[in-house]
Amino acid sequence: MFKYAFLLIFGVLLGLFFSNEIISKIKKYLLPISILVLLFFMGVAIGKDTMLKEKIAVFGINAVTISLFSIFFSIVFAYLFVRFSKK
Amino acid sequence: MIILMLASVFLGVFFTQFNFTPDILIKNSEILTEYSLFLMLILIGYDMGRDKESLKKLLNTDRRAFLLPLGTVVGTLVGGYIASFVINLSAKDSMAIASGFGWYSLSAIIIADAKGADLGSIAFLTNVSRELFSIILIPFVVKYIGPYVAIAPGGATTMDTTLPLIEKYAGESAAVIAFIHGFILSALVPFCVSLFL
Repeated sequence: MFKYAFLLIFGVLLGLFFSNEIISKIKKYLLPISILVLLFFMGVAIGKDTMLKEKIAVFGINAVTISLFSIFFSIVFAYLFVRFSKK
Repeated sequence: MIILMLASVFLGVFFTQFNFTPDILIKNSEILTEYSLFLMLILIGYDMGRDKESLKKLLNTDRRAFLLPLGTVVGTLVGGYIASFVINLSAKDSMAIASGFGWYSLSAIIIADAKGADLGSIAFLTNVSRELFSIILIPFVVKYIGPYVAIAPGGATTMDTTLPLIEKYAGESAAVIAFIHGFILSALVPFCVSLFL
């Protein structure tokens, strides 16, 4: 499952050693388009589900729970680490 | 951009629910997604590698500045783990979703690709709401806890969308740390998400 990370590293190396204006120009348009296309297809995959209406509320509750817990503990650990670094 | 991104997801959902999407797109959606995701990851990496100014900043910073991103990563994963007791998701899935660190487009797409659209859409909502809650919370955290701690909730977004807010409320020196924090967390997203898939 580390293929995603490898692709990112490949891109970083490409940017470090082979950056030029032409690739940058293509990238400027290609990146936002590819993100929008990908999100559209994620939507398609969600929309295929005939049980969607029953599921959507659960998705929302799960999402808010995970985000609030991770924000809360990020603040707690950042506070502890910042205090620790001052000593 | 966020409005366009939300619109893309909703259009995909509505077109498909009401049978407007051509069959050929639905049948090939997985392959199309997979290859555009590969392309997107390379392009994002290319952007990071090309941005030599940021890489220089990263290498020249005070070592203590790395403790803050570490705190955010540990806190986020602990939060994801504890959240899994409250909701109906496995600890691994919940931590993979939390590992998006607020970068909703990338994390949602990776998770949708590896684990299916259901988990992908939860990842999208989680990380969109992380950005929204951060925007609301940052001024309060600056006021009651401290300027540097206020960077943590923003996660990967502190190098772009929440950066102006941090600069306004927490000041210039916090903004420099926030940028580095966001840069490190953004680079970590594909690694941390992969760790829990």
